[in-house]
Amino acid sequence: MFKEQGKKALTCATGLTLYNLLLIGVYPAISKSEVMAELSVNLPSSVKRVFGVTSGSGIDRFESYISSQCFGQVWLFVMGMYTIGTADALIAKLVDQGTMAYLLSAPVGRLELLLTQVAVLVSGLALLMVLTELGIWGEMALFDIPIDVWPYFRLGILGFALFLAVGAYSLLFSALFKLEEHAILSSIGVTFVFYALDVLSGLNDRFSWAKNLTLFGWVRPQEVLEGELPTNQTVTLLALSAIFITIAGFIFEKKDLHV
Amino acid sequence: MINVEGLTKLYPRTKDQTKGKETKRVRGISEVTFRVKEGEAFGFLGPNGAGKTTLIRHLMGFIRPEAGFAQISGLDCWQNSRTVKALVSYLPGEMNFFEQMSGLEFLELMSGMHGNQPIFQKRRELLGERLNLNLQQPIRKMSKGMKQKLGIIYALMLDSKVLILDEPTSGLDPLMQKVFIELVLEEKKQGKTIFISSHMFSEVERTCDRVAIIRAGELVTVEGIQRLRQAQQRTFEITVSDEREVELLRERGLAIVSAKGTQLSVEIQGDINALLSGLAQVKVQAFSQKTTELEEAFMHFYEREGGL
Repeated sequence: MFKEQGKKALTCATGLTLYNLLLIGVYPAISKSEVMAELSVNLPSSVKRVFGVTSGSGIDRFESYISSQCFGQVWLFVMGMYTIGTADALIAKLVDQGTMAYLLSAPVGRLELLLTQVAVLVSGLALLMVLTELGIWGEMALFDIPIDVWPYFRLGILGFALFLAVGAYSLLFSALFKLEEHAILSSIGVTFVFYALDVLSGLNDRFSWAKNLTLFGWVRPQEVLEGELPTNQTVTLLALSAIFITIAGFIFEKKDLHV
Repeated sequence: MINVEGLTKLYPRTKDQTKGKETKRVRGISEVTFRVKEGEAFGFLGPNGAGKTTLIRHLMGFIRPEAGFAQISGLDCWQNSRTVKALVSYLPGEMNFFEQMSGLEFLELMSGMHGNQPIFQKRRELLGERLNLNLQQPIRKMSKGMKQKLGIIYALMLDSKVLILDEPTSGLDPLMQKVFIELVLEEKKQGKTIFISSHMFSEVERTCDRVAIIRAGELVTVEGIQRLRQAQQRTFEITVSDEREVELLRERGLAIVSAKGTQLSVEIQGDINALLSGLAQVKVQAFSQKTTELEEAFMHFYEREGGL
């Protein structure tokens, strides 16, 4: 299980790192381009928001460029798919396919089994974040772009906490539903709603309340990279993850498993 | 060793295909009661969908009974499932392993989960040789029969006191079925309690002492294997050399259910010696046993308990 998920995390991290290599590689050219600078300033703030630029500046600053590109939609999409896919593979898929029958035939408690699966999810996410961060640091060194390492580190932890929370409610659905399809659809549905609320909150001040209703609203890569400390957000996301996992454990322990 | 009393678990049948409504028909099991003694081999026989797997899920503590209970070695299978599973080896009916692992990796994982005793490895190697399975092969490359062998190795390597085997010989060729029967008989000699569920009488016939027959979720009968053998109805398809011989066989009192030219079908209940001595008088050109469904072979049991 660890081996299989490790491979998957490695593949995702390699993909993200190569993608980031491309983005960071073109940054020096973009930052010097007057057209780009003008464009970034003139873009409506709602459009910039959708692309991950949350504070006033344009994409001529490296932090805002990185947050909108390396920690933008592609990152969210890859991390989201990895997390939901893993949470599904760890319980719902095993139950649906019947493989869980073998694991359950051993004298191991269901809670212990679930916690092992949580450990697989946590280590996979951690590996993915660490590799992506190392990739970004390496690429910055390669293109000679000076950065302050700590904000990136903090963003890494916050990103990990965000996707752990996504993984935790996906795991909850994975334990709750009888059919794998229902588990996946619910996880994707909820994640999509959270994402949509986050985008909505940035479009117009009238919708800024929506930010509080979504996990993604607590993660503002650009602000963290510019030096803001995301301690509260990280702790809240970790606490939420713990709550989701506890509920998942409670359900999995009591549930009839037709394997 | 295994004690099942009044065990009930009913599910509403999934939506009716034609009307799109939920019907009142239920599936599952209803008030199933039986006991399996220590060291006994017990067959659990029933057509597909009769509730065999539901009963096994209770024994393994996968599902909680609505009423009644299942116990193994005096322990409740739901409440004490962890302790119960330390006593039990289980071969599931469906062979769904971790496809990306090799056979050996899977067995090592399961050995670890069962506490990794040195005897597991010894038995695993012996069983691998007897069943002629290359454990290094990735599971996704294995045929259905190979996966079945891997499942059997898993269940038998643990050296547990109780074996619960769900349709253990499905997918095995006749030679390997024979090896499996030998293995089960060896386990029985060591005093293990064996529970085999099947939809074919032949699968339990050579290994089990007693057999329970289940139909539509209800236990129809629990009988000794000898009595069931006597009760089993079999049909033989025979071709003789000319029509006079068909008459000769009829005169000997054989139950000829159909005859067309020199081909005839004979129905036998229990002892086949009358048939064999009859056939000794004629020139037999072809002889085969017709495969009969479980319900057909034991129809009178079902009829006695309220009809089909």
